[in-house]
Amino acid sequence: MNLIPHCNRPKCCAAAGAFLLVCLAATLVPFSAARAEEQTGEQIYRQQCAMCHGANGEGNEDQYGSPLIGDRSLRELTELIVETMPEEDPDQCVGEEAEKVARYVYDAFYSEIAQARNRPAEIEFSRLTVRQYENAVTDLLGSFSWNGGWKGDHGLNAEYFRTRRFRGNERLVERVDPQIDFDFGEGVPIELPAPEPADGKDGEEKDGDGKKDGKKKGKEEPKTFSPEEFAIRWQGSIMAPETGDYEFVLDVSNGARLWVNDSDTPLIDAWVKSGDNSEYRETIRLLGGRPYFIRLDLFKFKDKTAAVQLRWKPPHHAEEVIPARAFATSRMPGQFVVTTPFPPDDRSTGFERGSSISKQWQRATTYAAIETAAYVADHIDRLARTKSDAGDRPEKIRQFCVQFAERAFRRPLTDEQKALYVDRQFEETEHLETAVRRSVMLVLKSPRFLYREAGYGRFDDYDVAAWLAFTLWDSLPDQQLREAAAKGQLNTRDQISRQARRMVNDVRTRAKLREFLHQWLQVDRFHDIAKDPELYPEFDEQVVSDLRTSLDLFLDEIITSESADFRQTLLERSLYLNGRLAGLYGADLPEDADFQKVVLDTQDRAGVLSHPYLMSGFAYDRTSSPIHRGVFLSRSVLGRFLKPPPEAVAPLAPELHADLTTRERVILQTSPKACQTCHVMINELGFSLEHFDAIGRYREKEKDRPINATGSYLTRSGGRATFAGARELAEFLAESDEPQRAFAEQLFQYTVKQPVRAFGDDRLDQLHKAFRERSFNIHDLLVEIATQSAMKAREIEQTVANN
Amino acid sequence: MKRNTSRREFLRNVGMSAAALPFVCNLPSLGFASSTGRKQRLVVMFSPNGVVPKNFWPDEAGELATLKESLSPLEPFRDRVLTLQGVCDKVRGDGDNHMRGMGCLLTGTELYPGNIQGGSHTPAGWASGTSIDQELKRYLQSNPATRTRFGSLEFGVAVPERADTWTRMVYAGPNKPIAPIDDPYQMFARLYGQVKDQESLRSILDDLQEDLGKVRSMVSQEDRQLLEEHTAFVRELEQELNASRDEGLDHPVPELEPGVKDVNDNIPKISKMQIELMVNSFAADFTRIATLQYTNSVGQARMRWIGIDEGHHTLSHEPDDNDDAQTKLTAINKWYCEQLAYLVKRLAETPEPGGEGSLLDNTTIIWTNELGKGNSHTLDNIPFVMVGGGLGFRMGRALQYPKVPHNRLLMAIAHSMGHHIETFGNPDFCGDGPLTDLT
Repeated sequence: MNLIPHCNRPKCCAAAGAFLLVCLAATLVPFSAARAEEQTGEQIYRQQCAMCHGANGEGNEDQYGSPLIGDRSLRELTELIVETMPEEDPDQCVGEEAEKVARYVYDAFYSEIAQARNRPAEIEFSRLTVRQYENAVTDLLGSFSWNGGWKGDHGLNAEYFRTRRFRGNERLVERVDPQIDFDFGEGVPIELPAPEPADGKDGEEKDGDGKKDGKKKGKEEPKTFSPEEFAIRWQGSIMAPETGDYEFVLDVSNGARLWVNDSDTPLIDAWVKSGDNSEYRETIRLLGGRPYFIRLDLFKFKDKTAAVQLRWKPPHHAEEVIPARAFATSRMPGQFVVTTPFPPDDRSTGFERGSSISKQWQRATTYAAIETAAYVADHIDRLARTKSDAGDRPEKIRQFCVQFAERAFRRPLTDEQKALYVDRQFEETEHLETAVRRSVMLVLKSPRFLYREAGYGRFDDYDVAAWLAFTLWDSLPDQQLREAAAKGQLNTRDQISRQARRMVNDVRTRAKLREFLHQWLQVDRFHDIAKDPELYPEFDEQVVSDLRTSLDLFLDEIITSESADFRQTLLERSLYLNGRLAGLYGADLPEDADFQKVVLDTQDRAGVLSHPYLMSGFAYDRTSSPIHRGVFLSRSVLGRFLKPPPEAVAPLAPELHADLTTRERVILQTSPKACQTCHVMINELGFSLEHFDAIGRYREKEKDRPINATGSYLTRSGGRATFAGARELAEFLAESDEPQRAFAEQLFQYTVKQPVRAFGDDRLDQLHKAFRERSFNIHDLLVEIATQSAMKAREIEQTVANN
Repeated sequence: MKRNTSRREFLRNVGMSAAALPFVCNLPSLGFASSTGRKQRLVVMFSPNGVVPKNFWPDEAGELATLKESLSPLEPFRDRVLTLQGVCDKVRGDGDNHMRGMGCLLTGTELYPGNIQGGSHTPAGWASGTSIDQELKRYLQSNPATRTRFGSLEFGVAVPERADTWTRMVYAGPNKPIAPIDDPYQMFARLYGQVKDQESLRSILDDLQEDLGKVRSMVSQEDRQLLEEHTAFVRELEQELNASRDEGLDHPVPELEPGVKDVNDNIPKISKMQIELMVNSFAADFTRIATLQYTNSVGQARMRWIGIDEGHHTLSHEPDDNDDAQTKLTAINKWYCEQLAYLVKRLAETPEPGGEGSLLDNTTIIWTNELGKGNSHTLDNIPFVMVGGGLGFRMGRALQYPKVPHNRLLMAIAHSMGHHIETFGNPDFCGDGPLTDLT
């Protein structure tokens, strides 16, 4: 094999960032039919080996009963073949021939990876994934609270008060403020018309010795603000786009308090203004896709000036003034969010799944159970809807524990379970609070909570309800699902799909869908996209953050639109840009412009394919990377299976080939035959995006030579498509079966967390058909996925039960 | 109370950052072996609104022959008491005397300008320095021989639920006030929460295994493997919990009376509960520095349990010729002194674990106040009454100083714990070095 020497340039690796492998000189199996004149490994196998070992290495009943599987390395396997095969004449298969056949055997069925691939797909008994655990616990406790809503009206309720006491009768202005970013200077917050009879100055005596100020009665209260003293309260909800730690930054030259997701205890208490201290930071963990309670109180008293700015640093974003789109005037109750860190789920098959457990996971569930139990014990009166001195408090609390267990287990308790999970815990201690803790801990450590419904040889309406909830929300059934299950109304296809249809409109589905799209686009793997500061001086952390926002605005628009058309992700002409991005990407917007859709019609833009966030992520720090882009298109968009390259290969350094374009350099680098099997596909796809440089800016030329953005793709059915540039690529992809199927399969596996083949060999065909019939509406596809998978799971479980 | 903080703290305490560590990382097995020399402990106890000088200060310097009414509860420990008259809070700047009296008491330095308006003078913010207890905490924690689990514990009794210059005397640094914990249950959870959690956890594991067995029998053979692993992990958890119990506390977890609400009339009960927890945390060597703050500067405790219905601060404004007020104020300070005496008694009757004598032999309690006298709001003659042998001072005496700045006392405290700082707080008030005549 022609090995490319490592050029050892860590900068390149850092720039690529998103990838572990520096380059993907991959071997493609088993799609590309060999066109070589010599025999392929497969042909050799069929001629010389299959007679004894079986067509797929399964062995033959007479002599070679054991299947051809194992864990030797390819090299060992090759040596074995050289030395021992075929048995009657080991010299017959040596050299290149042995290497080829070994490679074929290894990839097709011998290796552990091949074994896993060839295993018949089944629904695996699984635990909750981390995401499911977190959402389930939050919704479990939330089910004992009132329901908030999300109005999405881009602002907070603002009340402006004449004094610092926040009294209703001293409120002069109520309005909606889109952001909290004010500098009132030495003046008043809002100029109001002066009242008719000019009132005397309001000289107040203060006694700070803890006494309340005496309220002046009978005096006409002024209807204007004074710069000496006023107060403002902002209140509403804030949407957390992604799960993670949110740092809130309060910049205030006066006294202020900030509450987030807890209306009792402020996250930031800056009521005392002291010295030059004006910036306060606190971090809170929030689950993505949910709105949270937020309130900010500000007062000015005798300070010279007044100013306040509320910023945040959400996961994957730079610090920014909280934008209006994150705010709504609607209210939310406090929600419990588990802060115990969990080990990440297995994603080796391309989607998170709960197919294995570890000691760390076990430990995390223990800590999380303790953490949750402590919260429940602290809030038991509110949760159980009782009071500390109520006569029926013990009963109410016990009743709460029963409901808690039933909702956690997604079904009513049997008498035996009620005795174990609730009654026994109350009998063994005299302290109610201790009993609650025990019961909650036991429920949250129970396999009935921690493991999913498939696998028990039973699948009734309660299981259907849970199946739908986990599939669409990664959470527990809500009240409507619980009621439907109790009434036996989750039986027919119509009943199930009606529920699924309702659920798709929930913010939790949107959140899940958005996370899926991040995974589909592989942006969940982007970390610290950084570019050469000399070549791209404007490309800073803020730009990266804005680009992610731009992508998310686009994805959200599709997710929330009526048509939710998959093809639009590829075909959209416009791009969300704000003032800062416009300057960089060639649009004409004022510098301080907020995000808006801009059509860059001279730039060959096509939806996500040319989105500068993806283009920057799939690039090096100085140059584009057709290989990364091609791999993304092959794997994610077309659903092709690529093996990792046999060797980690560093890219050729551009400065060593100063006269070559990126395209030429990539061709040179991947010219060895070993690379070509995969790179024929990868390169040809990636080249079509060569109009976009390392930061996704459109270019006509590279090194003073016109860009060649022609590319091609050999479809699974054998036809060759050719295209030049992003739009032609997008048009080809949007109308082809392969990307549609790949999208459906990935969405299925992401939501159901099981391989699609486990739900029938034709499942994907059926989903694809439904997808097409519904004009590629992603919501409709989700409904189909949830409905079909639930019904199939029930069918499979019933078959098991009947056997 | 403060959920965010306490939950973060919970995670820190259980060592979540290292989620793979065994479950036994909870309580230190008591590391007396590592300590060299005797342990030294410091308690600062605070009560507000000044004192009635004539019923508080001994008439003469020298041997402490008799104790005045307000100090009479200390009579059984008279030879272990030291009174320091003439120590003055000379820090000036922003804020009224109540605010400065509180914020500068343990920091010895000015308040920042701010937006908190007192009864007079300019508004102010937080103190601009570290308080002496936190300075000493840092000092002790920096040395493995004196490091403890918490470093310091801040107890409170009836501290109002608001953070401002009147309610905070402990500062981790400039603009970094530390809130005292005035809920004994919260303090208990901090000290022993993990032990309790582990007890609860241990108590459910049998039930859990029972149901795991049932669930296991329901799933198919192939699927069972996951649950079998699960069962093994639960068994492992049980073993870890048992191991941690066996090497756990060598003193019993104190029992608190349940359901005592945080209301004015429960102040005596809460005071006792907090003192018990403090004594226990010393016995377990959880900390060597503690503060105990009764109410706050301008605190308004209504001591109905000794027949006083008026609020403390309101009474403290009454002129000297109001005999009724003087009697009541004397009684109020006497009640605070009883709390001190109870703490002293509990320390005296608790043997020093792993050492000689009692906890009191190695603990000095300093009872202090933000004002010298309530109605004049003076910062001169700040009450400083010490009890116990922690700092090695010569006790059983009444000292009178010629109006020395209290910074010098704060330095003397540090020096006597081995922390030889050149200045503390505002250096202008540290001129003549640590206060003399103490040893």
